Amino acid sequence: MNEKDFAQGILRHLDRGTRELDSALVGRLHEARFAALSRVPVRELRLLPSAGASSSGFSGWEGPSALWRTTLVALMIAAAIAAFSLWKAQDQDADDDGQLDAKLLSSELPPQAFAQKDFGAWLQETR
Amino acid sequence: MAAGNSLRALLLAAVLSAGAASWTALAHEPGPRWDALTPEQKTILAPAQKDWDNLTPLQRKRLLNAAKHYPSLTPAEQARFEARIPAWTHLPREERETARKNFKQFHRLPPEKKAEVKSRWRADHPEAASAPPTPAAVSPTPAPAPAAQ
Repeated sequence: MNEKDFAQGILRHLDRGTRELDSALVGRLHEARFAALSRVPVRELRLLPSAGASSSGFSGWEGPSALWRTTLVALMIAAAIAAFSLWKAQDQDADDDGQLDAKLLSSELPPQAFAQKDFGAWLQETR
Repeated sequence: MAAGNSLRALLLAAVLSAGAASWTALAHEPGPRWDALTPEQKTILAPAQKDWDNLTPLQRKRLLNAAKHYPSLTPAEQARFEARIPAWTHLPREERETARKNFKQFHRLPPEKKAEVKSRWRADHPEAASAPPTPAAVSPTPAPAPAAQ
């Protein structure tokens, strides 16, 4: 007899024993179980490890819920899109400034003329 | 409840970190090195070669974008463009911004007003107005070190 046969033999024996239990005893066991569970706070019940859950060092915590995972992914995507949009806007600004710089550098007046504060004052007077 | 708050804080920190990291990586993308420019870009921007490594990424990007418009300029404009690059890259950032702002305003003026402003400036700066478009002519004052963008 190997270990598997031995274990199945024990299971059969226990199952038969359970079926043959006195109905009054089954009732008392049921009441005791119900009373014990009614004393456990609901939050602790939620955190109890489920059968087959791997032990991860988080005392039964099963990680973020599906809603949180979805929210996290959505926020990450939104952050990436926002960063990309800002970068594109800056890139567009640089392109516009490139065109402006080309006109400015090739203008009849040198850039230093436009950089002077009194030049700005002349423009105001001339308008 | 504490586990829920910790989880929210962790998620928020992760999202903020991801956003900040993405923005930092994109916004501070180093501009291309001189060696990475195309032969055409090198020809147009040759006057900036000496200072290229000292320019900020944004300055490099703007010069490269300006160079895209170089072929559409007249020969006289192209000569002025090339001659003024060294002085332009050495101008302090604030002066470059002032120049852009004033140039935009100037560009919107009617032709007769533009002529009036030009003649007024030439009258006040006869030495610069009569000089050929060389780096010395477009930089009447000693050029400072390249300014940070």
